[in-house]
Amino acid sequence: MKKDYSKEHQNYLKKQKIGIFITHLSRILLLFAVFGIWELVAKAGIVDPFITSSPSRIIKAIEELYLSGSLFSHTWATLLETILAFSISTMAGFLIALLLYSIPPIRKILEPYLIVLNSLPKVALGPLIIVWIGAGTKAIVTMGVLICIIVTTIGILNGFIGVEEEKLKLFKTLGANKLQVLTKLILPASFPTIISVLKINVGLAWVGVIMGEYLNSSAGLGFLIVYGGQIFKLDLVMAAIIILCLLASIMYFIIALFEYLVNKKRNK
Amino acid sequence: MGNVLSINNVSQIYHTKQNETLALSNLTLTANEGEFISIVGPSGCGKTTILSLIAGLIKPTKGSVYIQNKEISGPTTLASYMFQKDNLLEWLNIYKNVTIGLSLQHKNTETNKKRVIELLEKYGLGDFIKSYPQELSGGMRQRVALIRTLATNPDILLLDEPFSALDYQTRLNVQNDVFNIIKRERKTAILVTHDINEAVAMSDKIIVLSARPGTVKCEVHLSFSAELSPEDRRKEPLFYEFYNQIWEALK
Repeated sequence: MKKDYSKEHQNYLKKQKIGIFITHLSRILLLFAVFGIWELVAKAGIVDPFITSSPSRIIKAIEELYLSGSLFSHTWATLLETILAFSISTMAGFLIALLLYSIPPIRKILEPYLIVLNSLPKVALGPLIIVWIGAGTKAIVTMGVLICIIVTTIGILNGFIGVEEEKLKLFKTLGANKLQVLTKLILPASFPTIISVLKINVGLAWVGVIMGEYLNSSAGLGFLIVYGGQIFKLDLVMAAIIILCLLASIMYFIIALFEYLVNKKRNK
Repeated sequence: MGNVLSINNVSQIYHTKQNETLALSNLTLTANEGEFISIVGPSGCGKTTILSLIAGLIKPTKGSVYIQNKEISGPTTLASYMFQKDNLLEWLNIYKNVTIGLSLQHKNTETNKKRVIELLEKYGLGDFIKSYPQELSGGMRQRVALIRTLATNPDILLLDEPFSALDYQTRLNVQNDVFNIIKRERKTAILVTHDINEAVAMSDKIIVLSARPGTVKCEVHLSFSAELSPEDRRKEPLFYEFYNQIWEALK
């Protein structure tokens, strides 16, 4: 950093830094405030902790899960299903988008079906999936894939189609063949779109998997939530939700990190 | 001096669901080596169509196009296109942007690389080889786009209103730069524009097209002395004479 900035500029930089610090601090304070008030009103008996649970009871529930040895098995089951659903739908959606982009007649023929499938609530297919595939992990992953894949396909396809006409013209006049147009223009140009689709997909994969676990499962965080609700153990429900929150955020950050790394590499 | 480009009796019909449009009708046009030709005409008279035909992006409905006595039947690297927008790829640095044509054509030889770097240095972009397009001003970006078109060493440069997106002052400067670069590199250029000023300032020959269907209405040879830049030309009394001549022809 240059040190010969004017006093005014140094003040400006200082103010900026303080602003950022205050934002971060407020975020942490907000978190503690919410959990603190929650704990206090539950302890003071203003609300019934049996209904609302409380942070200390959630920690205890997680501890119990851990001691019974099922914390990791439940978490792992859901995490694995989500990773599978996310990877399968991303890869398949990408390949389908590529196919539809490369062969416009197929795209035209399939367009109305894509729209119908996109607007269909995939959860409605739940009973069919269970009958066709059977209950268990496979059915849950299928549910996750179904929820993600259409959005992925449409999103990535729109990214491909959005590449400017003039740039395609430019590549043609520079003598590019079809494969070169794809690898040197279409893919890098739609990278930002692909990343934003991945970010949406992470969220959707969790939705799909938890939905699937609601419908049929004997393990996983979704199972814990349903089970906890049925036996009126809301501490367990809250505990599972908190773990879900953490895992979903971590997965989102991994995508964001991937985006950052690729951008850094591209700008080298 | 031979004909670098010859367009013989070309007609072009566009088909849409509602209609068919005759865009060009029996158009004939030739360009000599090193000549700078501008095509002016009312909007919709098929100016850009002519460039697309030369680049081989579309096939003429009737007639033929030859570059260096080779008939054009598909996209060709003999001609190189420069657009209104610079179309630089924001994920590549300036050097990679400029050499994109060379790498697509697998002509990234040491000689070519050296030539491109020389071009960049000669035209004031030497310090920006590693920069990204976002970091450059509009005028610089358009110069980069020009060097990209020169990098593959085409016989003809096709300029499709490349200055119209620039603000007035930048436009005059870039016109000067582009003119000098093209003259120094001894390139044949076809410029499409609706700015008569620009056409008179830069060309050796101006072709006035009629309204649709476009056909050559008249050709005006500009007899400025060769050493005058566009900026100098604008100060000549002759400039206004040609300007009026083109203006009358367009009416």
